[in-house]
Amino acid sequence: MTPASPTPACLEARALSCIRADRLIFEALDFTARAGEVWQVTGANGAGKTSLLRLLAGLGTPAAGTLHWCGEPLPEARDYYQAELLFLGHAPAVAGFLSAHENLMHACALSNQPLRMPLGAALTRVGLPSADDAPAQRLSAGQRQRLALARFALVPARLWIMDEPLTALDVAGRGLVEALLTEHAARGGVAIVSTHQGLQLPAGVLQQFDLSGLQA
Amino acid sequence: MSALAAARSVLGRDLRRARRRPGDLAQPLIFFAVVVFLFPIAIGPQSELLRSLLPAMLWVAALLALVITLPDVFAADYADGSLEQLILSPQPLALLVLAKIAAQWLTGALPLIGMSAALGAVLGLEATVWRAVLLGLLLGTPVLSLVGGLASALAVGLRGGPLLLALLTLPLYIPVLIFGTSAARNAGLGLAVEAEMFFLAGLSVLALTLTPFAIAAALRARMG
Repeated sequence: MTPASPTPACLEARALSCIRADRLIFEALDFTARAGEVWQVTGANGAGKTSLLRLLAGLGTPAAGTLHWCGEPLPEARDYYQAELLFLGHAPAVAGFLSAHENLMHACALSNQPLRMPLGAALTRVGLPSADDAPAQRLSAGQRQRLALARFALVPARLWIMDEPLTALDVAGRGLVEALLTEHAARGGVAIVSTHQGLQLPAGVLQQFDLSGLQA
Repeated sequence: MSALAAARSVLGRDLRRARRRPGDLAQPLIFFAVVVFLFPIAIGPQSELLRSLLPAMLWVAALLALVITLPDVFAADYADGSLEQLILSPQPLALLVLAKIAAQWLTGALPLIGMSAALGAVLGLEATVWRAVLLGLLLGTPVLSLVGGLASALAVGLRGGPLLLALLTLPLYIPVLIFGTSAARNAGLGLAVEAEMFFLAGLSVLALTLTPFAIAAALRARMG
């Protein structure tokens, strides 16, 4: 196992191509996301934002091109990479039959990290009641999204990949995502975020990345 | 240690699901009982024929009842995004998958074996045959859960899931069915059943060591 923080966080993509269902989604994609940067991926519907983020997370293999995390090639360094990665997909990975607390506990057990704060504090942070035994199926879509965000407050990871994190969130929830991203960048983390909406982040943190020009 | 803690968390999570959604647990059991009771209605309750067919009925009904629980292994987790998180966990995926299958066996197969014991007794199965059927199910159902888990992983996210899964899986259950029913037949004739039991146990060990890795690879491939 590689020790924590040996090199500054850095995700590097070179000449990345993605093919889904025999269709070329994008090709020759290059970027380098460095420590302290939040990359916002934009692009029209169908431009391949989700495909790109899943590819980066390791849920899929690129048709061509290479990915490096802190200089190490993927997927060879997958074990090391996955220990440093938090991923938020379209579905918030909230099990309806577990309470919010149990959902979070399970997520922590799956990750291999000492936690940043107590579970209750993380729930409070994302605006959910910290001592509620009700099953999560009673939560609204926005509350489930907040519960998914609680993982990001709780589990230390240097790379965040978030697919449409603002879905179903209210104005305060959007502020919460921005605050989490700002803290993450200040700690020297890297984040790749897809969203259509503008993000309010400190100057120098936000990098824009448009997929629309890369379609075949 | 943390890998085992993660596996324990997966197991506990799925057992909790069964406890909090008892309907999901009861449906295959009721299905099993109904299928078994259809035979006495069709054949006649007192006939000698029924008694000789009973072990085979229990086995076939158990296979059918197990097959209908298979989609539950991964489909719900796929839908709510939990499966992605499982795959992206830094813990060994084969171990986490094994914990999921163990939960499936405990909540799907074990109650079926209990129900078989009860139905066999109610329908007048001879004691030696009854023991052979139960021991066979106990040794054979892990294979069914593991192989079914592999089919379930391969079919995750595909349309036409449950029926496709049954069509994929049932032919693979034939070896277990052959050894299980053959043991019951031998027991009825007063012959030894060790050979069949060893084969079932061997198949279980084989499935236990190989399928978790195959399931992990299948899940990764399905996510791509």
